[in-house]
Amino acid sequence: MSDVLTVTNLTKVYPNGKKANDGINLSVGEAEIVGIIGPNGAGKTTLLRQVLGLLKPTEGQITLFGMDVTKNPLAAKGQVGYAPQYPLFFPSLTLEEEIGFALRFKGYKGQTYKKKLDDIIELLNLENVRNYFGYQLSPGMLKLSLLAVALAQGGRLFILDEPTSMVDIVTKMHVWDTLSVLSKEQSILIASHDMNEVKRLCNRVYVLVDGKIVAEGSPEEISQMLKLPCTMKLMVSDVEGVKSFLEERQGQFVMENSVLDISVDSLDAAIELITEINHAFSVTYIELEAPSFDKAVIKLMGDKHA
Amino acid sequence: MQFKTLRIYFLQLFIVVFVMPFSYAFVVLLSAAAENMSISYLLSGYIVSTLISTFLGMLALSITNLRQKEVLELYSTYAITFPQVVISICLTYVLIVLPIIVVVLPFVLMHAVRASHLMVLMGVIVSIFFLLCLSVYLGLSLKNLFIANGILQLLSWILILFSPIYYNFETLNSTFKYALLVNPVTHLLNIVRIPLGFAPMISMWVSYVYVGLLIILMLFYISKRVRSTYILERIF
Repeated sequence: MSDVLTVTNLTKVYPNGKKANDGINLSVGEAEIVGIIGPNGAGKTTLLRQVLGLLKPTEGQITLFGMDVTKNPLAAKGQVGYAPQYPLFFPSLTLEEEIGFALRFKGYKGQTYKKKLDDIIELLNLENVRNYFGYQLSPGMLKLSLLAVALAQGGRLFILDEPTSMVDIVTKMHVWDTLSVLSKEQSILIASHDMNEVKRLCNRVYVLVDGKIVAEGSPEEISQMLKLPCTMKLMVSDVEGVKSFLEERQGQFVMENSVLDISVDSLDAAIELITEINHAFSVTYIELEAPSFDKAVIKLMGDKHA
Repeated sequence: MQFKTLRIYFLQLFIVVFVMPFSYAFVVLLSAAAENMSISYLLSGYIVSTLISTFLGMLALSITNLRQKEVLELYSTYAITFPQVVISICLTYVLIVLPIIVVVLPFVLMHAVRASHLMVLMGVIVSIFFLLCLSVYLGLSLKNLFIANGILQLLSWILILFSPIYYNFETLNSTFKYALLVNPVTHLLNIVRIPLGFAPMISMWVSYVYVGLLIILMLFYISKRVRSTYILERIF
């Protein structure tokens, strides 16, 4: 699989001396979804803006479709669909016009233009608000409108900065499905805080903390990177009975309202414990993730911050 | 696209482009009859004041707005470059003032004692180009939109007040005349009015050279700022 985007030893130091990116190496292959995950201020947006040619790298190299972005910052223009992090909008343009202009700039005309416009609006379920002005849309809708502009912009690569933040869960799932379909032919680079989004969509993930990449791999590989305890949340018919049962076995648990949050050393031990509890007390709700991607990422971020 | 983005500012645009300059002109036209001032003189001033009001009051502010981080990032989602956006904004405002010029200019020529049509037209075109450059230059220089709003209104007022748009240059004392000649708007009026048969405030070619030099300096600055491809770089 050839790379659409390659970032080599990228460093960005702002005029105030803040090092936002420090020696970053990253790649995005064809038809691949790559995620960048990290806390606020980790340098995710700075990285994306350099790839887009909006910010000048201090050091390093960015190669996009074989072109050196550091030498030709306009390489991304017209070839990359970009959805920014903030819900930005033109107050005087309707949603349809906002998407329409992106299509016209790409050279769409007549029936092809109309069909493409309708397709994008339908794809993101924006039919009901297509004639709304920017200031009339909710932040979630504005984020979708930016995604729609990115889709209209097209290209071989999409760069999406927190594409589904502020979006309701039903629409979020729909967007994830859309992106999954899209990734069969195009590459996507996503910066996100949403672990579910990254887990669900990404083939590979980079964990970025304080401008440095601290881990890289598939969500499964990152989950297994650290020997973390297996955690499960349980609801049972007899809470007091389970509490006594766990205390007798000196099990580690925390009780929040009627939910038991139990930690065990391994997945096998967790399955064995659940079987015993279910046999004796009847489990009414269970949530188990082992090994946990979320916890592994939080641990990685926490360790580096500390 | 730029026309559509101005929809929400329609009232502001109507006031800045039409009401403000016309209200000045209306008052002066009323008193002109009594003072026997030429209609051609006043209407040529009206054209220049409309250009100042529109370009400095609205266009320059649009350019400052364009330099805001959020706006730059929003435009970056489209397959267009920063210079293309700046040019399209300029063309939009030229198209906005064009109907006023097209309507008023025949009246100016009609009431002139003698008129060299071609030179009048050239004077108007140079005035448009100069004020376009000045507005883009100011818009690019001012970073803070709120400060720009105040400064640009004040500057428009100063440029209009300290130039003989609606009063007679001849009757002023010599110190004030010299002071007015520093203002490039006085020179714009000079290159429009001399071909209409009015007495020169200074040689027309001196005015052309003065305005031309300022245009070259401003274009140099503008091209340097606009060609910077890393559009978000200076924000931080």
